[in-house]
Amino acid sequence: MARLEPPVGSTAWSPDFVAQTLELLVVFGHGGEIRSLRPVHADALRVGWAVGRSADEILSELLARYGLTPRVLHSTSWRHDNGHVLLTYLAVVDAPADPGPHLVDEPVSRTELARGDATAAPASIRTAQVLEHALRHLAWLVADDPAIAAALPEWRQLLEPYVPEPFRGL
Amino acid sequence: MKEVTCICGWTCRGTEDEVVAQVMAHGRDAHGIESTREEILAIAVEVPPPPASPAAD
Repeated sequence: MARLEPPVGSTAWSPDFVAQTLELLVVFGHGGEIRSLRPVHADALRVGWAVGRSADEILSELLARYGLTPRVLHSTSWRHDNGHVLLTYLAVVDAPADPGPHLVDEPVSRTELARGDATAAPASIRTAQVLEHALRHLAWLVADDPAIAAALPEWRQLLEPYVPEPFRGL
Repeated sequence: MKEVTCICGWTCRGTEDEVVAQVMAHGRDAHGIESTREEILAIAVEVPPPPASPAAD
């Protein structure tokens, strides 16, 4: 008989903390396209962020739960969620031989960014829009950040469509 | 209030009894797992109760 899995996170929540949740979007390249891995029953992986622990450490452990190792793990955006700050990271992993029973492998589709006012955040933000923003951010990083560029040599071409047209080829 | 997040991303929140019932049903239906109250409470985390509804005018 299968047993209950250990908890994904064990951080108790508090209404007194401003930021307590980490969100992790996971992508990989396969067959010339960018694909994502998300939990079967959620849009993204989310885990509590305990005081005194680094987000990198928590998220690397979370990826390990799914048999994944990050090639790149980078914070990419934040937004308010239920009165708290939700900090989103993007993880780039190698294509998994098998995503396992708990993750869904699906192609990433382009979408419009969530836009707010000049001094106010968007009224609502979908996870697909967070991922779109994250991939535009990554497109800039693979061109600008030597460590990211070295970790993802084949991603500059994959991310070309995410680079604003005037900057392509620079 | 308790909360449980399953490795598949499914999340539930409620009183101890509510969370235990929901996790038992989810484990059985989605993963074919039978779990005990003690096992479920061992993986549940404490969460704050929802804010009180504003009083009507």
